[in-house]
Amino acid sequence: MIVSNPLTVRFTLNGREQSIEVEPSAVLVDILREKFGLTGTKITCDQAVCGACTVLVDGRPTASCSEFAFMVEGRSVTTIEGLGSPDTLHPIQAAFIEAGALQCGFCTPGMILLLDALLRQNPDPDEATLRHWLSSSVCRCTGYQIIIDAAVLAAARYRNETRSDARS
Amino acid sequence: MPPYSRRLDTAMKHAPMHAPNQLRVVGSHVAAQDGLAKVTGTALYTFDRSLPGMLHAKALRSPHAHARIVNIDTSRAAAMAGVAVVVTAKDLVGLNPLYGVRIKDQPVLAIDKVRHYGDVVAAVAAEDEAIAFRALSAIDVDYELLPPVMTIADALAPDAPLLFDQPQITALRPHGETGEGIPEPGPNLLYQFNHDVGDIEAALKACDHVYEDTFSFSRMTPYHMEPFVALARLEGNIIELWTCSQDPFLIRQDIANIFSVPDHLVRVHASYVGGGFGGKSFCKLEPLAVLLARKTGRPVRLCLSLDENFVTLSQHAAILILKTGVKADGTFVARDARIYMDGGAYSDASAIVTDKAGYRLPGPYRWTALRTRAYAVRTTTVPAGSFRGFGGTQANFASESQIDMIARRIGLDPLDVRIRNMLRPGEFYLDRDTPIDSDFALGLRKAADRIGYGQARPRGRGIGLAVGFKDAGGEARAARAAVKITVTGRVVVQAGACELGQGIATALSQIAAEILNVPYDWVRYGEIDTDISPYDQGTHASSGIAVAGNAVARAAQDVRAQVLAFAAEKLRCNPDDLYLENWTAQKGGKTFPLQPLAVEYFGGYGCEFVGRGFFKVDEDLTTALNAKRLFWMPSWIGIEVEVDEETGQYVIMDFVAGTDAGRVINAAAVRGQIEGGALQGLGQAMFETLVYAGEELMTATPLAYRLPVAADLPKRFRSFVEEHGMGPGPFESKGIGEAGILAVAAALANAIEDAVGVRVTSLPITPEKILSALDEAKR
Amino acid sequence: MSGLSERERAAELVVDHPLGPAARRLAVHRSRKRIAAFRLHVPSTVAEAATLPAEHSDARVIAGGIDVINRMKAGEMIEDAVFVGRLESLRQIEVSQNALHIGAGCTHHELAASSIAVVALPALCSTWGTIAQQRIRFKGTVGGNLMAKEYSYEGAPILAAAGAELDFVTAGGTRTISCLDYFTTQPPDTGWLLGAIRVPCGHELRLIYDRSFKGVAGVVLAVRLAGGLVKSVRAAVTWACRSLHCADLPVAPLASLRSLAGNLASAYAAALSEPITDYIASGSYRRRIIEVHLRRALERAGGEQIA
Repeated sequence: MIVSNPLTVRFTLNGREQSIEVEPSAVLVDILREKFGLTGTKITCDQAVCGACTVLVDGRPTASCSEFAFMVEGRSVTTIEGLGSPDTLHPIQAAFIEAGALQCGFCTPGMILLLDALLRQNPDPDEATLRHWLSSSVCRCTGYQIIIDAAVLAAARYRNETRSDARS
Repeated sequence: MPPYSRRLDTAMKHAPMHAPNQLRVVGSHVAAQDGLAKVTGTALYTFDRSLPGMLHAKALRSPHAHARIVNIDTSRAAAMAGVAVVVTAKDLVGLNPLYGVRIKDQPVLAIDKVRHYGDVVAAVAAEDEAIAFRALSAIDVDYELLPPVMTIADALAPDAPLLFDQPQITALRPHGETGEGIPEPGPNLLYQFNHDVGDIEAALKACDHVYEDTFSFSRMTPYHMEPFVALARLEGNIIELWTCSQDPFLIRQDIANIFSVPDHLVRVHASYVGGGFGGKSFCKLEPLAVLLARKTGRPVRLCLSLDENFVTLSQHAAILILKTGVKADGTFVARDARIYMDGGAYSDASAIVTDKAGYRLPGPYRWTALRTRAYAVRTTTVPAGSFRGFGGTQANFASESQIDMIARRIGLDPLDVRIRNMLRPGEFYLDRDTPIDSDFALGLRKAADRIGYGQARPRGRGIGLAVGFKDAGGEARAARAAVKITVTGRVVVQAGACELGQGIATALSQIAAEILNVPYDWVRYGEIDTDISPYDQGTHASSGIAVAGNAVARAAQDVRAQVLAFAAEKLRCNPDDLYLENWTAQKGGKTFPLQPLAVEYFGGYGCEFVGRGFFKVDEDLTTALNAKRLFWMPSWIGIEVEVDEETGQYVIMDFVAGTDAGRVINAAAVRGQIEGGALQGLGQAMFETLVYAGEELMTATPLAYRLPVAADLPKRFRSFVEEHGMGPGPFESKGIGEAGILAVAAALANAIEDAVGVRVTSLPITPEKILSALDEAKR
Repeated sequence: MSGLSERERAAELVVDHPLGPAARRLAVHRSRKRIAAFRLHVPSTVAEAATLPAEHSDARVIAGGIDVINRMKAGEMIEDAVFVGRLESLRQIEVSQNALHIGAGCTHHELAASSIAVVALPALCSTWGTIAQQRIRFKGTVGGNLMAKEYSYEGAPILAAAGAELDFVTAGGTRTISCLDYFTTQPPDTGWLLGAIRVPCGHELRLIYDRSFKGVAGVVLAVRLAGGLVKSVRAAVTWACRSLHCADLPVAPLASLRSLAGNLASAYAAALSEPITDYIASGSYRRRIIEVHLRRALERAGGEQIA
């Protein structure tokens, strides 16, 4: 059961199959930023506390600073770059811009992905649920209330979109 | 008559279509310029920048609070594979290795001593950070332990161990008539600020009541989400630096001074800054990155962990002793105060923070006499420096707490007492400084109204109000700007104010768009590069709108005048017959597109029109500091709290924070700044603090350091912004970046006294302190 | 220039002696870039995993990995890591022999959201759904929470109060020890791989837990009922003590718990060995909070209906 070093990790990254050779001790956030150049995922606390490094692994918000690369074998990883682009914004991204729910923006990618995970699970979260979920991500700039407002706006848009997707 | 010119505002008021009720872009809901890049993860911060062949640096830090460095053996580390260089103080020979604001005592690397846990002793540049860490482990440092000096009391005790035994390099700015700045006035004292108004002894004698109270203010870490990071490279004899600093031009100057290179051979780039709050003001570890780049000939990236940031810069903890005399009717008469700011191991910005703590202590009130002695004390703890509020937070906590205490002691309503003494718009501050430019009483009444002040509440529930107060706009500040218009009428605004998240890029673009009468999305704020950008003295003191903003406005006016002159010549008329609209010249109801005129004139390739602007506040020595204040920054805080008297636990049921922006440039940005600042203030009031226990830094890791998360929000949390129209910035605006944090802690302490009759005078206001006070009250 | 008076000195924050200086001295050099290389073992069965200690006695189990990674960033050297995160047999939740079996590899979220667990022990599910923060709940495992042995984690107090037993997997078979004993006595040689946590579900379990004073003190009150009669009353402390405190209270009818609450709570709090004094709160304050929270929990329990 001992695994070779380097080992091969096969996973899906932003919808594309990838196969990489890494050491067992390689940490996911470094692979994303350094190997794949996806610098949208940030690192602040490096202790799974602040949420700046949040990515989605099989749709679950995950602290990539505290995730070994080998743990995503066979899984699907989504970073902020995979959520939407300047031409096709995800409803949460659009809502953040419209509501002015970001300032320095360093927590923003992690915050948006966290909300994406929430809305897919609960498309109509109340304020208590939003406060609860958002406590996984630290923001030093906004005071959170404006992010909650953006999340409510995003949820409404998201519900409309998924409804129209279901119809079409 | 204020020292800065009001002619700017006059000119803009007389410009066509620019009456306040006809503003098109300023005050409108526009999307932040950097929003798209930031939500898609494509925005580049200094943290994200890399260069080919880049080395990675890590710093070796002292595990001791105070020790002499006997020997450092770097041989094993230097010999490791993948290590390019190891540096210590030996590598500072021939340099000017000290930096700091006004007093330069902080070395690029510890020279003979370490003076705090985390002080930088050596540094490694290696192929990657993992190798760099292994090399750090291989550096042997022999320390001779010295007794630590962990608190203000320790530092001021007789025979206290000294952090410095030689005077340090000092270059104070001159103070004014009523103030005095004294560098290194005594053992373990970095600095002293004196402020004297009237005859304090006589005034105190004339009071009906005199009260002395002591307040203890904690210290926070800035916790900006982007850690400190710098990337340095050499190109020939040019030093090129990317830094997260809020002050690219000041860094250029520091690098030039430290390395004795002419400043035109230093080039500094700013990127989006992932939060600053003052923690990225003034020189930090940029010189170390440059040193390593010079030694290796390769680009070097130095990026700190959040843990390292905790030991790099903190807010000032403080003890404030206020002896305040009032009349029986609540009129303020005199205040004799001592303030001890815990400056930590090195100067950083302590001298100027101490000035401000002293100067802001009177608040927006009338006084007959004042005597303030404010000291920056040296301790073997994290250096304290610039942090949002900048002495105002400390001063407001003490002053606004004591006002409530005094009012209650003499049986008066705390709101009434404030209103009675409040300076009105147009009244001089302390009879000589810039007149008050916000209606403080109006704002306070609005906060009181929103929080339901005066309505009966059951025991255990209480309301507290407080007024935040500071001056803003900096000291005799200057800024330059340029506004460039392309042949298609698109605009690039150039200035040196960094986008930290406060929205300055957007606001300055809105100002330019308004003056040039073009759509907002035709304007972009350009990147900052000290080779190209007009000069700025640093993104702090909430000076973006009022200082850089005025420079940008003047630059826009300048280029507008050039364009109108150009168009007038082409159209053979007077420039006064024309006005600009969406890059057309409007004349007598006819529209003349400018693009064809410009293309034709510039021979098919086009060109740019460039306007320049300059704004400066004059030096003036008739007050306490070295210039009159540019503007005043209020905050009005109302808190409703419910206290559980069995445990001391409390819940904030309602919270309201307001400020005056003069004129709102961007409402969402203003809201974000007020609420973000307010939650920082609230976090500090309730629990957030950097804690030492003896020599140990207890809150040394992110897990151990609690700061507000969404679940910590009050049940109801809201803000409001006033537009009193008296700001010195474009369109009567002024900055509000530090407003939200001011006086929050005092409002909470006031609310708790209102709820259960006990007073907590030290931060954080913990349930345990409340319960202790309740126990005490029962005895 | 005078020094500070007695009163001024008192105004400065005075905090008692620290915990564990060694970790904090290293803190400033903490980083994921310090994670030392290790051998990774990925067993395909639990039995295979359990045989590992013979070869690598210091091997560390990684399930969610949160604690292990954290320690490695602080410089802890781990040479062998055994990744059990994909072993399905460690992630089963089932009811058998009047007990809810929770695989040690279940995440907090999986337990809280389990359709089997919510029928067997609804109170456990709803309580478990409130611990930690959302992101940790998706990643951290029940077993990992216990094996981290962090006094500030809530898993052990909640499970001990609920009467849980721990099943360790060894080459020679399963070794069982009660959760309470594992954390409070010198544990017998249980082996190092926790396989499952078993919580009795024959009797109704009610949990009353006020988490509002996170980081300072909390009390988990567990009441077991059968046929409307109280079978046991147990209280465990969260956050306030360095070792697990869980004790039985006298059995009394539900209704009388209300009137007995004050005395029971004060006796319980008095019997605690000194709660922690640190930079957040003092031990004596924590003791008071425990008393108040327990009293209120007993009053609430006493006021509840017998279904």
